[in-house]
Amino acid sequence: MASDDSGLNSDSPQRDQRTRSGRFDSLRGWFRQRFERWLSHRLPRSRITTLNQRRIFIIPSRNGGLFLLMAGVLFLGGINYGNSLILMVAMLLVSLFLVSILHTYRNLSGLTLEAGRTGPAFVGQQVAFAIHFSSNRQHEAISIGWPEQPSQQLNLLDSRRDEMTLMLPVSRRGLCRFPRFKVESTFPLGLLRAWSWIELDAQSLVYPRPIEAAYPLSEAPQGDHGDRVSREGSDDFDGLRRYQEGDSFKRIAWKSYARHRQLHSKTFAGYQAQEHWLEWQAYSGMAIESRLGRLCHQVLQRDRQGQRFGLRIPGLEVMPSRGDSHRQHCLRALALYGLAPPAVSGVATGSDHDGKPDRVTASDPPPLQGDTL
Amino acid sequence: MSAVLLYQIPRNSLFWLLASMFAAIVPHAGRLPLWLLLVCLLCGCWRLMVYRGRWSLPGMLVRAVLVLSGFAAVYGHYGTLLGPEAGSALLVLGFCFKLMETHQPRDAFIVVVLGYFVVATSFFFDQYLVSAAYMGLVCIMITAALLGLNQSPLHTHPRRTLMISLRLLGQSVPLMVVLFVLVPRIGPVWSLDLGSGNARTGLSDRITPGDIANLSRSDARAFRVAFDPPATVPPPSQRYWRALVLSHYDGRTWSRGSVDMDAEPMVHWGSDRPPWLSSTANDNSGPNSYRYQVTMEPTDQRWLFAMEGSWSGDSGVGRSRDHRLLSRTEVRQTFSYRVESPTVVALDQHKLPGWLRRINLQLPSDGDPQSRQLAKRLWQQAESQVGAGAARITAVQGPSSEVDERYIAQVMALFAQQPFRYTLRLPRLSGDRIDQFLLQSRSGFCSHFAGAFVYLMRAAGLPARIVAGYQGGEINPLGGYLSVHQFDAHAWAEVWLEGRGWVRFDPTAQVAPERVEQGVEQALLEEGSFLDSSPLSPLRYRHLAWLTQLRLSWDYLNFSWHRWVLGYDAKAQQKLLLRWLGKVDFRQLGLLLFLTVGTLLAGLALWQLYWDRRLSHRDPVLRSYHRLCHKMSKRGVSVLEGESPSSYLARLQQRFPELTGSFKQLDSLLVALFYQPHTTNRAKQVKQLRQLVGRL
Repeated sequence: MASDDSGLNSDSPQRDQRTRSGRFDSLRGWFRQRFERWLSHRLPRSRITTLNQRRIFIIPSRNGGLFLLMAGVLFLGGINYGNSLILMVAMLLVSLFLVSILHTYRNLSGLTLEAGRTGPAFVGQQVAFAIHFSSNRQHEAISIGWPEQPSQQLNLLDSRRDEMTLMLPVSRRGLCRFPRFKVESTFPLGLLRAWSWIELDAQSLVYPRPIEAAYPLSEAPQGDHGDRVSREGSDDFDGLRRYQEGDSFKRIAWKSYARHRQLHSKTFAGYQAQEHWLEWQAYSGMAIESRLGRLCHQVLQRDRQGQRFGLRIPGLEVMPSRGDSHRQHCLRALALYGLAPPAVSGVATGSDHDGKPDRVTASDPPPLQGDTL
Repeated sequence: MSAVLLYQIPRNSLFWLLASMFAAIVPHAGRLPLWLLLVCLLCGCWRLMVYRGRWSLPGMLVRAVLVLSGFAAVYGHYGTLLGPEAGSALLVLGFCFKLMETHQPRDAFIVVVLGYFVVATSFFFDQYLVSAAYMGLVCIMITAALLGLNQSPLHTHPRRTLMISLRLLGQSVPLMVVLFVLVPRIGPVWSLDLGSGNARTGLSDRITPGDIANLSRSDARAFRVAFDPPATVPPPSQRYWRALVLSHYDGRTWSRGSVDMDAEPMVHWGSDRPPWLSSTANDNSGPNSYRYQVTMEPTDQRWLFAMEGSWSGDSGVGRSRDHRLLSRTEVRQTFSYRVESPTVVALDQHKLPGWLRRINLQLPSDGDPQSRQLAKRLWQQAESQVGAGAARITAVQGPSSEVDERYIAQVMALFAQQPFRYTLRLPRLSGDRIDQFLLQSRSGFCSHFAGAFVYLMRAAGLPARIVAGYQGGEINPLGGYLSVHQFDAHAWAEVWLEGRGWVRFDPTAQVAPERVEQGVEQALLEEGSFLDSSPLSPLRYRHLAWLTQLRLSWDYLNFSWHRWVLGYDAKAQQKLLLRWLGKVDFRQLGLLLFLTVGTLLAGLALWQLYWDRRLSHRDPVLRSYHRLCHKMSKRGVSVLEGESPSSYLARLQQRFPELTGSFKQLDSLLVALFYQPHTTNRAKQVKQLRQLVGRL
């Protein structure tokens, strides 16, 4: 099985905040690592998971301990006063505890979790991971979330399916895997706590945090279509053409759609002489992340303006184009700069990559799940 | 912190919490002081207002003042904070106060836990089958409250919560029974002195004419006797259940006298022979003895009920110098003990110690001159009839049992021949009571007859004493046991005769033989005063056969409850285990317990698994569809292989045109349910489908 730490960003909130200092912390870190390794071995990552005895852990809760203590006190009282009925209440409480072991377990078991859509985000924002739940019977009061964060509650009572979105704040760009989260329940009596750690196989891109800054280079025309009048400039409205995949949503003629029930894109004629290239060298001398952030801002801005632009960063060149998919390719290139190649689908094999970025071109967009807005 | 302060008990839970609080306190209500009940009510209302957002929870200071003053008030009321009464009052108070202090889920949990405690403490005072059943219901409600705490706060189906609670408890009951039967009963971990209980109805150790008459109007049960084997129930005239011996008369009241017969030198603990019984005393447990188990209601007294000359092998039961059985501690709970009683009794037959003779000859120095006169006259008559010599009024010694017996016969004849009347409607007596009773009113109850009889015996120099207890009892044909009620209370006399020992005489039997043979009811038939203060008592309507049957069945149920549940103590456990399994030690018992509980839990888990599988294989829509197919194939149109529901229904429409409407509706429902599983009104559609199929 692939190990988790293949250089990818596998953010989890508590790991971000942790500062490793001191011997004790490192010892704890070692234990945690061992635990995580054991856990990921025991509960391997998969796209769809059904909770069963392999995955569910169960222990008495503090309330459960209190409950048993009370049963013990009643037992002593019953023995001392020779009162059979008080003894019987004590026995009833103990049996209730025992029976609720089964019920607490059962409340989790049989629940199927499936990774749903994930939305990409920028650093500093939150990634949305959707989970689909389904089961063939009722489940109640299951809390789902990351540890040490407020969790959400799931109830499958009248319907057999439900959906939930977990929001994860991210602080590093790259490919963010769906971190391991906790599915926990104390239903029915709160005397026991059953839980499972789930690692769903889903991932999301985290783009660099856009940094607002002017583009310092003069945007000299490049390439051979330099001075031709572009039919698809963005200055003046030219007409409508049938919508093609990849056209920006912002250009769709919604009024026309309302009238004719057909999607058309507005075309603009202009005398935009140049195809702009966003260059890595534009911000030379800055740290990598600052460069990426500035480029990211430029990509977003130009996309908003409907410009045609290309992106050149070391080892990768995105040919000039425009539209949603183009923007995504650019952002993706920025997000993954210097990191491992994207695990395209399924489990990252992480076997023999040498850290050299792939060349991604607009003509050959790799299918990237979770990136479909 | 603010998130913590915002915690509200979920609506669902609060509903059941308040309901169970009310229900759990109701049985305590009669015992608790009124102010405490008002405080409970206030707390409940306050909590409700908090929930509705009108009021806020009390602040720290208010709570502190409430708790302290609550404690002080309980202390002021009971004089202590310990013991069942004050303890349960404190518990109820704590239950209510904690309800006002639920800032966190943990607080709410503690309220629920206190609820279970309130239920348990109610069993200190009341262990009847009905109360236990009621408390079972309260437990269901408390469990529902606990469940509600762990449900979504948006969950607002109290009934569903109750159903889950019911299921949980239902599944716990078999386990509980196993634990109850098998968990080893150990003796008390520390010894306790329970505070004095509330006043009980029952015998009193002082008889002033009129006391027992009051008792006769109560139909409460005193005790039950199960004979072993059940066929050996003694005849009614032998059913004299001794409890007390009264040997001191002060001219007005019979009491137990200055010698404490319940204290150490006068009581023999242990199953061996007491030193005061001669070796030839017939305490042989031969075939000529009754073996039985008495299950008595709490009396708050130490005396036990048994026939003459009884002994018990039970460790907590002793035998007193006046041949009664005594419990080591006051009987505050239903109590069972095993007894053996010889059919032929002779107690102290060889020698009566001087001090005992003196006690049983005691009379006030003056008063009742006419009765003394009467005794003298009767004695002389007896003497002259026997023709013996020396007068024995002054002589203390001398064996002349013939005269003694003749004299006793004279006195008994007096009661039989003079116009004495057995009645509960007693005239007032004052002054020389015995004189007035014997010579003027001549109407009274057992204690009057017994008192006058003993007086006459002592006046003639015969050691005699009053025995108080119960006489009779009703056989329950279902269980073959005897039920003795409070109205069976009785008083009779014992006279010591040389060579025969203490002999029982019942002057009441002379006046009203039916009292002894058939019970108080028959004796009071003409008068109609039997249980006249409790017109609804089923015992008044013994002539209605079905009612009697019902009453006896109910009594049997209660008897079994007392015997098998309440009376299930270490000894009963040993006996039961011995019968089922032979000899087992603690280790084996532990293993057995573990295995049984494990098996039960595994069975439950398997059953759940099976149920879940079944559920997953058959979702409600498919189940309805299969039912439809089954129904229609019985009417000749079965579903073809590979046929879709729609085409099947179309075929059905052709075949049964009169049902076209239903089939069309079914078709659209099935399509919707199969292909649109996420609609909001799915539950309604499923129900509709089920009803439609059902109607076909």
